[in-house]
Amino acid sequence: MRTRPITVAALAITIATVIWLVARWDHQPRGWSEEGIAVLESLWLESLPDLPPDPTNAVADDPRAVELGRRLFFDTRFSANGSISCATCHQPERHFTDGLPKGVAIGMSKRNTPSIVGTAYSPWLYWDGRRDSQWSQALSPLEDPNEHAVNRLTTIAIVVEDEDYWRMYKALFGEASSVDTMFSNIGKAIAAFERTIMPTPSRFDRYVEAVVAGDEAQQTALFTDAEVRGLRLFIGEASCTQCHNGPLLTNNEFHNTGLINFEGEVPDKGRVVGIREVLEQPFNCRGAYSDDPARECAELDFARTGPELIGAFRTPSLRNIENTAPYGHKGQVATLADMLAHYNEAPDAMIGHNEAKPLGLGKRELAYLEAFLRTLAAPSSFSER
Amino acid sequence: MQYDGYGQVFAMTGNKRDAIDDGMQGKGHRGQYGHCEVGRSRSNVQDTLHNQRERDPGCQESNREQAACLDRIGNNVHTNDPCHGDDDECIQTMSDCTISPAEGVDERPQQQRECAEQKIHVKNSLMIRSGLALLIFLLAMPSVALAHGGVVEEDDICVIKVNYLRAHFKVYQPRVSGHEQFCEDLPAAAESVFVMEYMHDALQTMPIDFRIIRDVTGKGRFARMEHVAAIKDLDAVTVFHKSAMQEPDVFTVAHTFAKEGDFIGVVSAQHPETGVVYAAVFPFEVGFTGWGYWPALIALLVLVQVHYLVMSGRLRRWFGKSAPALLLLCVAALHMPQVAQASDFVVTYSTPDGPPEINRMHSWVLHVETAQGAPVEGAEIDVDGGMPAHDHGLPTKPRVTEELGGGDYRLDGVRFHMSGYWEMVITIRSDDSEQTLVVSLTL
Repeated sequence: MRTRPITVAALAITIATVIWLVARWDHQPRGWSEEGIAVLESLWLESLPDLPPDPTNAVADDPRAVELGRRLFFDTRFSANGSISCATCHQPERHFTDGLPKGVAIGMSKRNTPSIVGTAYSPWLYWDGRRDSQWSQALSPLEDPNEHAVNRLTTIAIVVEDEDYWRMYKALFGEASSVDTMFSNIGKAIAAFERTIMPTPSRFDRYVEAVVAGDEAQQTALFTDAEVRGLRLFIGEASCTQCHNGPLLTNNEFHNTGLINFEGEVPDKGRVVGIREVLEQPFNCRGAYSDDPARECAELDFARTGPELIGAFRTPSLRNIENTAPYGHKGQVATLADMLAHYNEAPDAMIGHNEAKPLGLGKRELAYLEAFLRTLAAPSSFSER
Repeated sequence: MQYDGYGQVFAMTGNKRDAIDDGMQGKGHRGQYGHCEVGRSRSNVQDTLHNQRERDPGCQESNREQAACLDRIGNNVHTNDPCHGDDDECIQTMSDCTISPAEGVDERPQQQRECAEQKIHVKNSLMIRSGLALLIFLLAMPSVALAHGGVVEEDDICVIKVNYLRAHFKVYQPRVSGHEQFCEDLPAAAESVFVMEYMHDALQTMPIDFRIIRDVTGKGRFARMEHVAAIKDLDAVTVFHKSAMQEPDVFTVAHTFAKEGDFIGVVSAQHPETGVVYAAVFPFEVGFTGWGYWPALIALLVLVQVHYLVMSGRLRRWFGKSAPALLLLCVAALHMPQVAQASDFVVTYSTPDGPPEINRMHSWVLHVETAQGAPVEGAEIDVDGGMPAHDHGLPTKPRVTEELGGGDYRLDGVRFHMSGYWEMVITIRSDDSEQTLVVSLTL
């Protein structure tokens, strides 16, 4: 008799627990709050603003330059062994990456090949932002001994000696001029083509469209429960949108996320070195080869330097993330699951300071996140005239 | 080559952030956000903000450090808000403090020292506790002094002293141990990445030479510079050498040890002006077998102390009585203006290009007036900022580009790259008075 109240209490607690668990289990997120919809809209490709002008490149939006640039981009003659073009590492079918930890051309490049998709929106190029325009970036691999391994004279000579190229060049830039001017013009034509490389709407974008339209049937048809849960985590608890925000899912800024070093190398210092290089770079916005007469270079003028940037790298876009493995500035992380596990743990950085905080998510939640990230798969578009 | 003395690597238990901040002098984000910034006069805006900071983990940590520091000095403040229920951390902090005086350098922030000085009243009640802590320290000491890395734990900080120049020293074996940090002794013959994060800016401009030799001195843990200098053919015993090079941000080298054994690291840095070479020597073992009985012994002692504290009811008393007193004291210290101000400035801002949104560079108009409402003209204004919750600053370096008159200043180059809580730290100098205000905004 004495045990009865205890039994009753135990039973009550058990029942309450079961009810709570069941309630929790069945709690299926349905519908989005106004705030949630606003966040989703901010990530929607439809919200991408018009392409920002590049005043440093007078031919940035000239279709003739796009055509010349497109041909230069795929031309393997601009390399020491005649077999490397920009597209060797920036492969259109792989979202303009190469599927390798580090790019392989004439030699092995220092970092993972970053995608070109949507970089016209970024004030900084490269993982460490050591260039401040697409055209100045395009010049750099040509002279890198591990990439194209040619020099500016060879590059110009190929253009001048190719009848088509030379005709197109002259129509855009006029007669021959100084080596550096001609070299930068070649970069500007390549950049005009690169400006056309953009993401296309993914299943995620169609889902947002359905959310905005209030079409629940369409939402259910487009996204599984796991994907919806993953999306909620993405914009909520997992704090992904702290950096991966906007329609391109990047803030184009620099963050130390504590990735491990590449085997046999010291940890990469990243932005702290990149910012020095871009400020001194002759082809930067302030340089003699910029087409902006006003030399309005707010990005350089207000650029941040200092130890906070040790080991920091540019946030990559998550568009089509599924098809751009491996991940990280050295391709250190093989799979999406590994990358999510890394963020979940957020270990101390080898150098500098890891800005990410441990997420403390469970395996299932990480799987939801991964499921959501896969909904971002979509090919990229570019001028194919 | 003239060696002017030599340093050693020693391990220091205690709070990593504390030590790094002290050394780095606000070079990083923590310098800005890690402390509660008592050395500034405050405006109402900042006071409000301060409340925000107290909720911020970084600030709480700073408070904890303050309280822990009071404890270290040997006073009777037993609020132990930093320590209660976490005796392991408490012991470590005390060890840290005990080390500092031994090194003859008190590098604790000014506010901590002042806070501590106000409360130095030694009471017998602490004696036993201090005695225990001291005992633990002394027991740990041999491994510390011998640079054996005997106190390597996850939250420790390992410091290399190259004469008076100090750097946070850590070694990784990423292929076998991932992100785990080692102070010196390394578990495996594997790829090892040595990192020195400078605590003195001078090291950024000094060419640093890094060499690892096989230990042929026969001195083991006691090897010093003179023993290394006595080696006739240094190159013959060298397994890794990176010749003198300036590394402005952080020093890193990677070496893969082919086999286990005893080694000596030699770091030397040449002063750019005097030409004097400062050097540090640290003997270490690759493939070491473990810590022996020290961790077990320390754990036992900690247990004994916890037991004593619990049984004596002391823990409860500290908690009950002194906590509010200490809290009050520290809060008072935090709010105490350090510099008398003739007048307080009030800053408001507007954004002529529409409300701030993320990832867009835009301008602000700052309006500065005195507390009496008179516009402040001709002021020098510095602006910085960041996200305290994320330990990072602004992505850009905004600055005032134009004085618009009537106390208005144009601030260009503002960009926020995340949504969330941001602070803009605005320093105003006008007519010999200076004030730092913090404007907060949530995007």
